[in-house]
Amino acid sequence: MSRVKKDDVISAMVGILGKKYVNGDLFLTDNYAYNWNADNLTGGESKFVYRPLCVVLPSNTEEIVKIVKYCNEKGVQFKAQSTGWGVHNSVGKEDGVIILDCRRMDKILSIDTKNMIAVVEPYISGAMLQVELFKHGLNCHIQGCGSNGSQLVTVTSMVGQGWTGISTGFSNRNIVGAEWVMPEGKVCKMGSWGSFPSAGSIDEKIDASQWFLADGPGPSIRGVYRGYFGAFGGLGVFTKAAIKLYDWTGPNKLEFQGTSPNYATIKYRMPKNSNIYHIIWEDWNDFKEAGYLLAHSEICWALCRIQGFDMALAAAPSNTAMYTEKLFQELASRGGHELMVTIMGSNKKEFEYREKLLEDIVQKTNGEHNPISAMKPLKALMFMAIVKQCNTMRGVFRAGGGFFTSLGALGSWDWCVEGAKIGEELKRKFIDSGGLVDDGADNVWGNPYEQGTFSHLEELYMYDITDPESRKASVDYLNSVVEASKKHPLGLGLGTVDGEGSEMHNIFGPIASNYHKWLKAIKLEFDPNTASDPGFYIDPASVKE
Amino acid sequence: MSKGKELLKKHEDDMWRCSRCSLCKFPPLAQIKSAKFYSSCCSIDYGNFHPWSGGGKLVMGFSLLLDRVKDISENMRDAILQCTMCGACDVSCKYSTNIELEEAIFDLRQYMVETIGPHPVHKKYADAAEEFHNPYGEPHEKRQEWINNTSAKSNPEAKTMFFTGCTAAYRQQDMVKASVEILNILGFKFQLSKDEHCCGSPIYRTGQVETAKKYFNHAIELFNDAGIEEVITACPGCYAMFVAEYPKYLDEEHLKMWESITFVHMTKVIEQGIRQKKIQFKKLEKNPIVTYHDPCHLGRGAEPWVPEWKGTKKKVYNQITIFDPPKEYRRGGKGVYDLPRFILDKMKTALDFVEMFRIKEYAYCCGSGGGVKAAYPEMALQTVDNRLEEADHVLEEALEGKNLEKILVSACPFCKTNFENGLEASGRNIKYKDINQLVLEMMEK
Repeated sequence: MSRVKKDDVISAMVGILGKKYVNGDLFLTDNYAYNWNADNLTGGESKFVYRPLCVVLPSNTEEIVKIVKYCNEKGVQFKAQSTGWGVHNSVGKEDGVIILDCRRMDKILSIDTKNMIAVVEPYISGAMLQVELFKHGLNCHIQGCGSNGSQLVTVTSMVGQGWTGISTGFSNRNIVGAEWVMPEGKVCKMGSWGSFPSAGSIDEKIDASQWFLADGPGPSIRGVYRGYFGAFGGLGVFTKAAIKLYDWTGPNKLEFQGTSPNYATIKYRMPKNSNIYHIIWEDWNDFKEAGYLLAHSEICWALCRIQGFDMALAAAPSNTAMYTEKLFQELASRGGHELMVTIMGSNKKEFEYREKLLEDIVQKTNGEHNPISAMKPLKALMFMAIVKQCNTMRGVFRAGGGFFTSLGALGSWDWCVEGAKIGEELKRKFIDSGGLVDDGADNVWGNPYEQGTFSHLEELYMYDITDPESRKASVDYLNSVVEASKKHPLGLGLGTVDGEGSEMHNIFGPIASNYHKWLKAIKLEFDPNTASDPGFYIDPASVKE
Repeated sequence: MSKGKELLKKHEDDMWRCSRCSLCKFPPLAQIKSAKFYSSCCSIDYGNFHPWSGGGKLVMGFSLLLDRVKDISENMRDAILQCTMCGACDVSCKYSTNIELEEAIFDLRQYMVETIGPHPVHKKYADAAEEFHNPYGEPHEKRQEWINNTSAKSNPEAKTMFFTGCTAAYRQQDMVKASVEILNILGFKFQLSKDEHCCGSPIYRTGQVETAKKYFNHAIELFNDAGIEEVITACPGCYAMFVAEYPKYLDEEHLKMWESITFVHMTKVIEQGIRQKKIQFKKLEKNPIVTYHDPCHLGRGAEPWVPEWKGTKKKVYNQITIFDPPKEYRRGGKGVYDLPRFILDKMKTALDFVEMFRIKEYAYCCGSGGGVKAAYPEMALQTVDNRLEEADHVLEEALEGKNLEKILVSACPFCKTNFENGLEASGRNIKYKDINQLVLEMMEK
């Protein structure tokens, strides 16, 4: 419990940051209580959850350290956010938590083109980093939610997979260093960077070449601060992150023509030695086999399951066009189990080899190319959407305004496909009763990573957020997902965890190696005062032993 | 429900739909060209807290609608008004959603005015316009005095009227003088009216809609009574009001009058002059490097009016709402973007042109619109400096170390004032030129 009055907290924050960067007015704290998926946490009643005590705008690590130390001393909680998208950015209780909105920390601190590492601050999004990397023939992994999300957050604090996972790994894999303001206010310089004598000195010029390893100090604590899902902002503040980079064989400036909502690559041209394919398998087993073979073949730059319905939504300029235009209708109604494959070769020979091998796999596994997706404009648009991660919002959010994910976790490809089948069956009931958008029920999104050794498929769903009945259906569906995840060994679903953390951990911990007890131990050890808002991570006091 | 609340209620569905994705803060993701110049919203760049963004303002409206926030404090008023209403957030949001963001922001502003009254500075401008027919409180009889120093004359028989606009008439006479000199060279016959009043823009855009409406009717009646078929203006503020805002509020009689008039911006006149070879440009030995700033009211704001959608909404695929007939959206792409670029391209014997990163419908605002320059001058200066930094960046890159003049060109008296103030404050080595003045200067005579 906070031992100080709100006015005193605000005065202290003003003392650290200046008046311009501190605000505790009701209109402002209410604004920070609003977010995506809040409706699912409020039984469909509201898009608002708890209001923070105040919001502050730090600009550097030193200021954050002061705030965190103050919180520990005075019994106030804090929580940091970067781009702030999703209810997990909200606070866990009313009027007791300071939000640190890190939007003023918006610099790319260093790009090491030789060692392929970039060091960024919290407010650098995928789109911002990528546009600078392309100039050097480099690229980064961007999470599937879109390139408007923070690059730092995806590697340090959140689970997150992108379309290019087959060639770039996923969020957990792409961190090669971080600066972490721990919950008590100490600065942990992680991994290789921390071993350089200059690390963290005031005048230090960040040199990405020093940030080549994220593990350590001592035994790796990467699993502690981020682990499988990330701490959702509940374990200190990450102020800098080093991100692993990848080769980009496409052009160093990817420009588009057309005006909103109709952009495409110039003259619908794909970059040299690249192509994109939408391939359909009628049978789940063939799909499964193809996924493995494609992953093992190492020919894909991007390999991802996207269903025709979502593709039609992402491509169509409006919902009305999606329903009324033949092209989108054909795309949406085709059915089957699909994979979108993008091949990029560094030269013609390599590209031809990869394309040949792709055709071989498609034939062997009874796949079929979706003829509609071979149309130049659609192909160019999907290429843009995948590379830039720029059409997610219209692919899933525009339909009914309500969108979330449900069943699905990270595991073997076989296991993911089995989960997809269960998800389809479960969702079908809610579609049949009219509450959810009829996307054909089987709408898993995801892909195999790293030559197929690891994978994920998550069941997406949409609903009309302006309709109370549809919101209710969403809540009921998510409850059924929790039950299904308990009944089947499907792991901690992505759609179950983005809620009130401890409640879910109490359900899933006992059936998953008691992981919640480990989380509790970590939280207690690193944050003895529970100063770092545990709301969406784990609250030690709520963990059932 | 009060009339004010009805303004908010109209947007309730969109208030639910906002996912807080922050796309309103950036150009559409495919259009981001620089990590440094990534922002599209001068409001959030000034206020930094989320309520200053487009989505944040939508949520502010939701808080008020639901009575979660009952009173509009002075700070909340500032969060609402520290926005130039430039419309960039709306362009970005509508690439991906069907949310009418700019309309919601504007209705929040109206709601604020109806609840606590306008900002005192904005009220002062409205009061001045009431008395003097211009928001600056200048004597009405001096409105058209600037023409005395030009070679142009008002021709009462002409079917074309040149609409000066208050800022051009009283504050930026150089650009309007250049405009009429060009018209004269091209042989245009036009009227200037002593009965010209403010177009209503500065009053309307600060949320004082009811007060502004009478200026709309006055202008339309003025054109109609003088038998005008074509109105030319150099002011994008006036132009955007004529083509995009007036028809929303005119009654049937005035709408009919409006439909009989063609509204033309000076860039169109110059383009035609070039095509007809009446305007040709000098050849210079040492070309300056030029970049162009798209004024919001000539770009996004000048996309023609779309009548309010009427039809049937129906649900398909259980929970997706569609419109029958299809709804037409204003997405900002149909503003005046190509004309100034055509002009600058034809001047390539006299200058070298380079684009900034944020252009056309994704252009970053100069910071002077929506009553910001008047009520929040420090925000206007911060914003214009952001834009000048971008201009300087691309101009310097294009210079490649050469010692040439750097020029920023635009086509709006409000932008002109703010850029000139910004250059004075920052001391940046860039010259600002209005496109009319540049054309006149570079023209072979």
